[in-house]
Amino acid sequence: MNKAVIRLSAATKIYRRSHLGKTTESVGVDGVSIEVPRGQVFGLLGLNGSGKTTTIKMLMGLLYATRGEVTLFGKTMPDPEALARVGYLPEAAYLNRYLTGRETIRLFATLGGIAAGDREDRVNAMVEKVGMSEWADKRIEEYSKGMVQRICIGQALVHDPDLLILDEPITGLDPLAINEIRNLILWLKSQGKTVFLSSHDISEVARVCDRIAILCAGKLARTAEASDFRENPDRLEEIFEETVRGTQRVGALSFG
Amino acid sequence: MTAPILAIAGYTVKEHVRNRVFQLVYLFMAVLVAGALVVSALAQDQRLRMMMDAGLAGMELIALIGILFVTVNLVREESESRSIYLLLSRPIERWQYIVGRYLGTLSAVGAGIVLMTLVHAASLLFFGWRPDALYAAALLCAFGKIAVMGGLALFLSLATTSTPSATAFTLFLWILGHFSGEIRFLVEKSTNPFVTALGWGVGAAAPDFAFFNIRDFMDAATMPGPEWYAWLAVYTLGYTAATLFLSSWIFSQREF
Repeated sequence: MNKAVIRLSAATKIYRRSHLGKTTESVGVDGVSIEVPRGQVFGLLGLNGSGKTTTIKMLMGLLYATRGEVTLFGKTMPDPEALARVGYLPEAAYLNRYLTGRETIRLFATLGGIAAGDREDRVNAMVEKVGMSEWADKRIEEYSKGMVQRICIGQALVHDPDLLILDEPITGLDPLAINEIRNLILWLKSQGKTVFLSSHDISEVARVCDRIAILCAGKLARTAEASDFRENPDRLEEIFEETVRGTQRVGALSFG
Repeated sequence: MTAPILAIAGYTVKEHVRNRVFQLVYLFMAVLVAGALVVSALAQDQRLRMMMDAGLAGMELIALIGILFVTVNLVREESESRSIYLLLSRPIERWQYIVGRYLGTLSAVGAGIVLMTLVHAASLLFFGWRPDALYAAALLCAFGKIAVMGGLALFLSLATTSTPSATAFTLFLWILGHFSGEIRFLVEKSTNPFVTALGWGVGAAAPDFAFFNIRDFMDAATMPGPEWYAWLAVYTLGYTAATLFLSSWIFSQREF
């Protein structure tokens, strides 16, 4: 029986662009194989353009793998049955600015398949959990970045998913918000949920992840277990630097 | 199966109502009031005739402008703002998203038509008009045209690469739709196979507005028979279903 919640088997994504009859190709990810078992917090590290977001979009069914296989809960993506068990928090909170916070969470609760009779209670409880009770009936366009992030967390969790996928969840957040996200991840882990996150922040990844993978130029360069870095978080930074050195697609800044 | 469609249609209505569709309705109301003041100097029968003709034509035009400019950006805006990522990461089929967005837009524009009708009918009553069934039939025809044009605009917005090209093609086919009889005549009479093929292709792609022609009945002051309504319904539903089917197919191939 397949126990992996996430399975990427030699997953490859090649972007093809056609212009004036000429087709150009670029590799997003190349032959990546990763398995994430239930209950694990898994971190995906890499430089900009290394393929982290492409990997996550393939998991969410927003991009289709050119080769290889991408499965969630044993279902080849995109699969609505698998998506019903996933919460997704994208890199920036992309929400419809004309809706209120409560309407947004209600919309995603409906799309997540929560029965009508149960929906309002779940929505109200989630609004409270993300600390937005006072602001929930104002439109998203009136929110600060932190408030939008909270509603985005609410939409990701309202249907009580088994797997949470977080794309750069702490990028651009203030230290308090980072602390909240860290606590959220640890709480999800304590609830037996599986978490898959991508990040640039090595120290945060070292604090919360059970296992990490490092992507370099679209390829899986290395994996490491928490036992390799948990006692000494600086060790993960060393592992990362050793792995990615020389793989940048652009040159270093050379001022001064 | 219908819950996601209704949820998507619901937020689409809110988005349009809070955004811009109703600005056009207010414009119509202002123009109608100003027009009524101008024609009040005419004799009663001329006054009613002018108010009726100009009002119905104005409503149709404003609803057409509304659905055209809203629909050509319907999916594009949501893709550019990336709010589509979260929607498609929920357990919904792509066709449900397309149908929901279309129905929401049509409902918002339909609500606009209802508001305009109330103002128009009130101003006609003010000038001594007696309500008749032909007025309702004319409104039904206008709504049918809007439904068809909405489907066409949505399909062209997905089949073309820019908003201006989708708008231009939709307007071009809207104009051609008023010459469906002439195009059929050309196809029948032409001996040139190229002209015949072109005429047949254009005639098949462009909506046939002959099905929505209530003008002849209004001029003769007679009500159309039940089979006329049946053909109107069949054509509207058939054309719209075909454009939504094609839109869903194109959208299902899209990656984000």
